[in-house]
Amino acid sequence: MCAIVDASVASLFFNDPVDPELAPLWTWINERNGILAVGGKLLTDEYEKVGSAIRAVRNWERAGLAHIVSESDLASEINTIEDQCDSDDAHIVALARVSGARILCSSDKALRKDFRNPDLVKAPRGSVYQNAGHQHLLVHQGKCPLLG
Amino acid sequence: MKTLILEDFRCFAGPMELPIRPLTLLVGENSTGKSSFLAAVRAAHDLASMGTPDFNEDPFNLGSYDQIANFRGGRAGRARSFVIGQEMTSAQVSSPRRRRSRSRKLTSVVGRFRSAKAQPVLSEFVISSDHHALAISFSGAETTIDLKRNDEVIRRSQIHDDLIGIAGHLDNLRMISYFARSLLDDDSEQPEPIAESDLEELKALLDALPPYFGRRLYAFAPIRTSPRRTYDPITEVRDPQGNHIPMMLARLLGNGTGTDFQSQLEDFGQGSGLYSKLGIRKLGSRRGSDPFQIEVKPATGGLARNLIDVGYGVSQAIPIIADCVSSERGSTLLIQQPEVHLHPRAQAAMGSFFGQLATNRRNQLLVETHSDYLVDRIRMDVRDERLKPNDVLILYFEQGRSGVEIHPISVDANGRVADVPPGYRRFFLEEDRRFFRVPS
Repeated sequence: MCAIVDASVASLFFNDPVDPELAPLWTWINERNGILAVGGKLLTDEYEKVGSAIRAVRNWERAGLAHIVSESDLASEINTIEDQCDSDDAHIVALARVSGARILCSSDKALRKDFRNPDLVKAPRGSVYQNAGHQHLLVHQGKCPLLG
Repeated sequence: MKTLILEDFRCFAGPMELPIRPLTLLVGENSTGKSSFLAAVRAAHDLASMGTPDFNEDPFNLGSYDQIANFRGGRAGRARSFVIGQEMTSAQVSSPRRRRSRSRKLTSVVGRFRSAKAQPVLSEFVISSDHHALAISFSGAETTIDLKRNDEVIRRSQIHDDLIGIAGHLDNLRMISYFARSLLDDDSEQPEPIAESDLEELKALLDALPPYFGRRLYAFAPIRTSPRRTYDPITEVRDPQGNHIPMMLARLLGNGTGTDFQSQLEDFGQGSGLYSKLGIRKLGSRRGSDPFQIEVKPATGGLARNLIDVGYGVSQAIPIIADCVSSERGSTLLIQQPEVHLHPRAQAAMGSFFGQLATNRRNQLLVETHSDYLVDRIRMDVRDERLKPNDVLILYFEQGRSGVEIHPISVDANGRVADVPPGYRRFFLEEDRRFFRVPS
């Protein structure tokens, strides 16, 4: 299973020290083969602003634990769903659809609503991780659809 | 080489079969057997050419039998023998009546070594395909050649050392193969000749071995020779440290004409940012006998400078590039830490350079590296379709409980690593965990 950490929590997730509510996500990726999905604007713009994020993403990618989706793969998907999104984060919803990520870590209310909308994210539906109490969401094993 | 076969060799306990691709990257912590692995590749290569493996030929110095055979400790002690071999594909004529019909066939060549006067000595040598094998075993002064079909001996012949007239087994390997060939050629004179189809298969085994006209394998040392301000013309004898490189450059760059060698060298220099041009400055009028200097024009522009006056990385990279470019097409290149002294940009360029050799010149490269930039660039070249995914493999070396384990990690069409074992890059992930102070 892939997860997405969106820009609203990126500075807490890639922080020194990491926000304790988000630490289980680190453990999930590092020790339980969880995969972080990143790509497009999230990587090139939003993570770029959190300098240390790139370091972590790069090392996860090298270890096969980060799935980087290309800008071009996301572009057409964004066009398809943009009008159906309440949030201005169609790129995150598109990333979920392309990568197969079904866990979102975000503090953005509108985006969380979009992610749970079965018309946008389905089979399975999206879940939102907000704090350490949501660790049960991180039990899913397996690979992202695009990883084969 | 398709597969390297090992058993109880150095830190590799038990039998192992490791896939080898046109570009195979050896990664892992220090002292996990990467250089030993390269030494085994060279020995397997020598065996397949019916040559004599020298386990102490530069750049690999493995020592005597006790240092080479696996030591498990405790009651198991040291292995009583070790095995090195390979599976290789070879074009095979499927039938003498259809000589134009060729297919790729897998042949394995395996040697078992035992200790004799503290040195590793070949005790068994087997060439085999799916159903047939030619097995040579050495016992004292007697050598036995068995021709087998489905593991059953269909012809046995014994030769005494006196017949060959040369003491020692290894030196005779090629001679014994000629003897085996004559056995096959003369089999029709036997009271019960071997079936023609079996004879054909057995002859094909010997045909599958590459001819021994010099070694088509180059092994590079991890440290290259230091640059000098002036070089005296000497004999150009290839060595793993690259002492022959100045003479090679003088020969191939000396006339100033734009050769393919020169353009490939300069393409790398420009791509890596190390230099834009290489040249030879002769210090006398006597062509070939006066000293000369190697001049490097910086990639950033400006006047050409002596090799010793530019960054050390330049002098460390040039021997690898020059030797690779001048190597025979299709030859095997064993390279240790090509990234030494290089900026990440040049490390990455080295990755692309190796990819081009594997693709365009059909070289088989085994590269021992600690460079993420080199590995990343190769993965990117796969993603960007400059390299085929099946042409690249990462072998990850990891210390296990009973010896070093080697995990093959493939690279998919998107350049992503697949089949990643849990320990792969653990250090880096743990460093990040510490960096971000993630609670355990």
